[in-house]
Amino acid sequence: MTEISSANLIPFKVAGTVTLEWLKEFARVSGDYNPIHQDEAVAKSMGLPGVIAHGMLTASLLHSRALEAIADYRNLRGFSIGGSQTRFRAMTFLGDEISIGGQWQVMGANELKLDLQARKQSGETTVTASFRLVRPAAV
Amino acid sequence: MDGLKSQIGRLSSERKVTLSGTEMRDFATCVKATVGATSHSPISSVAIPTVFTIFRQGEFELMDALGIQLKQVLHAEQEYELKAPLSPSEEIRFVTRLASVVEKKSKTANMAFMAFETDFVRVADEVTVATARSTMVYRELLG
Repeated sequence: MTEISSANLIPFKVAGTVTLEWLKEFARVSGDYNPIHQDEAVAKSMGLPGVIAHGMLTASLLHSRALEAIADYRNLRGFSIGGSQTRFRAMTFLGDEISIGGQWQVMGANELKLDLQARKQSGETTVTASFRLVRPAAV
Repeated sequence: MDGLKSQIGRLSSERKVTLSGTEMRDFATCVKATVGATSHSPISSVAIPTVFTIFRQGEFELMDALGIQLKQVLHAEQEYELKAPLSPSEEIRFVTRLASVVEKKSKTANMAFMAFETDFVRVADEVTVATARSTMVYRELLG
């Protein structure tokens, strides 16, 4: 595929299944040691059903997929992510399978928008991210 | 939760950090970044945008100073404005500001939506490479 249009869908693809080991590794690389992401007793004491995944883990999976999607199109060379807005809409628990997909929106010759969603195996949307892609002006 | 609004505008201390190539690579590997881990060009030496989440110490410092424990906090929104590439070994400095507080009440908790804003400035040329805005929900369970 080389041309983008608003009809271009990014097909949903499994990014991974949440495990305690993965959350511990994300805590290590990100420095976010909030115990609700690692300790079931603490999570339950805070009124949660159990350990929940870091929102920023799913957000990062969405950003990774955005970069992949940009790389898929030759005519997007030179475009970069100028900004992103991520909303955390539902919790992700241990054992949940995260899939990511979405859609392009053409805004103009030098601006594109990419909307991605993370879903659980139940189909529930957990995190959404909107990316603004820009092509820096030639100097 | 009382008095949080009076803290709007409060600043964290300033930090200077240098992101190492190893930190970038470990982060990219953990979040399954298959394309270069880039924000501005497809080369592997440039960071994936969410790598700035490594530098949330200012948020943690402010929450701690306000008597908020991390376990009481959930992430609601995250925004990044990316203005220039960040490469390993570049020193950046940042200060985090409590930008706003909105209080809400549910059946089970009193909540405060706290927005933190952080500008990341490259020390070598004083260019702001990115701005991060995190909205965190502080919950005080009822009953």
